[in-house]
Amino acid sequence: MTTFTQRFSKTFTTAVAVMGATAVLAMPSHARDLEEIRGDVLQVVNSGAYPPFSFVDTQGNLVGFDVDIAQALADKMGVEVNVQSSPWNGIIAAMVGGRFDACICSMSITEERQEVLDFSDPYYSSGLSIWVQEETNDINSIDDFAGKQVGSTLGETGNQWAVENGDGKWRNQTFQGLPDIMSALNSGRIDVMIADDVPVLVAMQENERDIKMVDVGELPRWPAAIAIQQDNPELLEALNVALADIKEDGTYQAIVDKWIGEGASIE
Amino acid sequence: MDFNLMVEITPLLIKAAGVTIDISARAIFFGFFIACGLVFLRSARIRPLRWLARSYISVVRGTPYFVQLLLVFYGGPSIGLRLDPFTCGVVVGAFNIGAYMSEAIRGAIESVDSGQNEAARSLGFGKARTLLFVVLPQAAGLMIRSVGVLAIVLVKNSSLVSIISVVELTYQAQRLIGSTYKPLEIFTLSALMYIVIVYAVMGMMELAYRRATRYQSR
Repeated sequence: MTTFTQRFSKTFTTAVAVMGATAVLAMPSHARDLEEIRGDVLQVVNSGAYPPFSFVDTQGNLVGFDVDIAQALADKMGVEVNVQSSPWNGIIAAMVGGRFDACICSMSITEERQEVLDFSDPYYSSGLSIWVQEETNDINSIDDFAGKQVGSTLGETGNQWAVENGDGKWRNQTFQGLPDIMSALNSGRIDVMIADDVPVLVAMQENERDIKMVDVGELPRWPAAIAIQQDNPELLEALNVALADIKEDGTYQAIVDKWIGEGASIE
Repeated sequence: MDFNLMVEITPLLIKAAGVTIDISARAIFFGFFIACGLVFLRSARIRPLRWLARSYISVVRGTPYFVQLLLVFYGGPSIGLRLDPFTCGVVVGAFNIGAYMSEAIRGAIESVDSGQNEAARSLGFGKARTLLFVVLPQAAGLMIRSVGVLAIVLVKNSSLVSIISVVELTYQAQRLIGSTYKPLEIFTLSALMYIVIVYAVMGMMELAYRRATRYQSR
């Protein structure tokens, strides 16, 4: 019995020591600076599941507003670019861990995110919007959410808002992405959907949905910007200059027209 | 059901299924050697080596595969270990399945009757020859089924490597749903593909089992 206990505690202590050492070592790694990127390629990430900003078409190509913006910025900076996708809920960890140089993925600037990442100048702004089923008439203000099921996407600003404001008033349901919430709303599994307006508006143009937007008064808007690792001023400066350039020469507007079109404001 | 869409995206999903097979097969292959190494270490004369192997197995079995992936992928760069996503998936998969497999192999070796060992030694076989020609052939039949179960679990767990941005079957399906809004069709297709892969693994294991036990009386 004693031998077993001894053996067990020895193994256990070693295991804990190994895990502790790994945790200590797992500090953020240093960012690649501009010069390093110039000699290689600019590694850009987006979620690949957020049409029209970034998505995979049925031919398997990663396309969208953010992909074109990344290409346009790289052209201005005179660097090669490689745009790839990574699931949204892993992107911030990937950025902090130095896996990618820049996240051009329609990320809203929030205080929490600013603690771990640096943001460029905004390149558009996104606002929350409220959606209900077509035949729903009893939801006209935030007070009407009482007792309802409210759906939002994990890790998005809409989810943050719903959790902070809904405390005890309504029930929050969290989903992996916009397609999931839209299906849930369509089939009545949730009563209210909170999501960024532009993607829903664009999805509505392409897919018939029996849902409608309701105006419940002022909801927060956030400027969206390019996120990079902290302490990399040269890269940030180069991105901001390139951003100003593409706005100046009309490239930016052309990309907006191509992917967002009319009917949705991104300013 | 939108059958046109299903036909259209099938090639993309097959390609992604290829990544799933590739990553799983490599992890199982390298995992087998890691498992053998661990079995060897656990029976080593030098005590710290035994502890090392045992602690390693406890750490791997005590933490979720998902967490191991995140730790190596996101934590790795800070200790200078910058693996690309695919390699990272293979490495973590191999070290993960290796720990489980070593226990399966050790269990199989230990369940061979000790009389077999004694008989071989009394016939003048050395330790290594006894293990190689008497014990292992009998243990093989015992270990294949449990190793097979681990292989199947690994194939299905490989869907988790999507979190480190490997575009395998599950992540490709999710990305396509993002642009097509057709979860039923796409998940049905990907589920069918997993079934085919797992059946193939089961078939190979069954063949291996028959070969390993062909001289054994039942």
